[in-house]
Amino acid sequence: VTNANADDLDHRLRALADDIAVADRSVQDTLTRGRRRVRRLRAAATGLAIVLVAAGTAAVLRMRPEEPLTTVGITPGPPSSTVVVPVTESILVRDADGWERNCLRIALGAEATEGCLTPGTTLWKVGDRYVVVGYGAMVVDGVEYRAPKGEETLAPLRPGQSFASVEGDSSGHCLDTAVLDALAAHDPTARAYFGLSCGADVQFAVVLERPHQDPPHTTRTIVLERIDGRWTVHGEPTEQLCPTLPPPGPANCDHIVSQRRARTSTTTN
Amino acid sequence: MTMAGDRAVTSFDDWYVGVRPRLMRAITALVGDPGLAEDLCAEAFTRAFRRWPHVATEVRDPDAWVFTVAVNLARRSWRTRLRSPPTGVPAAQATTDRVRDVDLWRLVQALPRRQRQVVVLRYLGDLTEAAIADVLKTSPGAVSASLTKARAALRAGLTEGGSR
Repeated sequence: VTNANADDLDHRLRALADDIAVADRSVQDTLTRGRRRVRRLRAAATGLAIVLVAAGTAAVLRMRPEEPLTTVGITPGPPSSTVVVPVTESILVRDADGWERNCLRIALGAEATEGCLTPGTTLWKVGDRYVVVGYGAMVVDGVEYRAPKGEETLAPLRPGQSFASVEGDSSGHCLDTAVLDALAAHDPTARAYFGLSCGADVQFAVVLERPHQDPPHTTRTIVLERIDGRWTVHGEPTEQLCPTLPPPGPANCDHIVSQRRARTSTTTN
Repeated sequence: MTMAGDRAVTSFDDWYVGVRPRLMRAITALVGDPGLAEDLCAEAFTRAFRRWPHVATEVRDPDAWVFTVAVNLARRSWRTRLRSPPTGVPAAQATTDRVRDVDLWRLVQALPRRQRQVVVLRYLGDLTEAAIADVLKTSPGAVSASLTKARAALRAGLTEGGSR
């Protein structure tokens, strides 16, 4: 490849920008549009509902903004296995950007989780455990987290999809009972795993640790590696969750990560 | 323009005028829907406006910050498939109808997602590789590698298609 060819490609790529017409828009118009959008989304989110899709031993819990809150519906899924997860409360939380959003508190087993799931999150129930997969993010005490590599490998799930039909290169591995067994063996007290990031042989699981009340370290990330067909848990995290956006104030992701590392160390020691 | 410490602070309006066309082009290319792109950009700017004192003085790269917000919103819109009803404000302020280099445009659209993001942010968003790394929460090295792969794929596609 000659430099001339490279220059030509660069030139053509830059020229694409000239072809995408962008009309002028005043600051005021843009802010008006942005505020209206936020109000509209907020109103839509009040209509969150939970739809539970049973699929064998697994069930999908999905919040659907277009359905009313009072509806806890069971949609058909082969084969039928109904699990009702009660909505305990609809709450308004403030995310890392100071942005309010509607969420639901849901009951996980005997305990209500303090975090809430954002619209679009899919919660799978596998046995007596719950796993959040797909592009879902988690909001804990107003700060949104997502697995750092989760979005790389997972495709969004749709209601009614079973394990076998999940899109994505390896998302089915997230729901492998062997993975959950490995997690459970590592931490028998953890009941909910969030933000699993799927790789064929390495996965990251975020364990919700309810006994701890301070927001950043209510979760921790553990790493699983498949060696010779068996999932092995590496106890200490090598990946950490970061807020989707920098939180208000001077804190940034590094700050939170360092806090969490210190606290995780305290917890595990 | 004022100074905060040793850093020049641009007014929100000045910053907006400079960054909006780049953001609109990039997000339009990423989401493929000019109306949605304008909504997402408007929300991103609204967030920036609400926190402008912080963004202007404490965020290392406000351009990367607003790109990050918009790209995150785009991701969320893909996740939720949430499509917005009309806002009452005229929509579709950007369009790709006039793209002349159709062959290249199609090849860019056909790139794997990460490569497409990197190309769009680099050439339509005019971001540096470091800023792109910030936006995509990856390393500059990974951005550079993705760009190299993308360029190779585009070059190969153009050769196969006999373009130019």
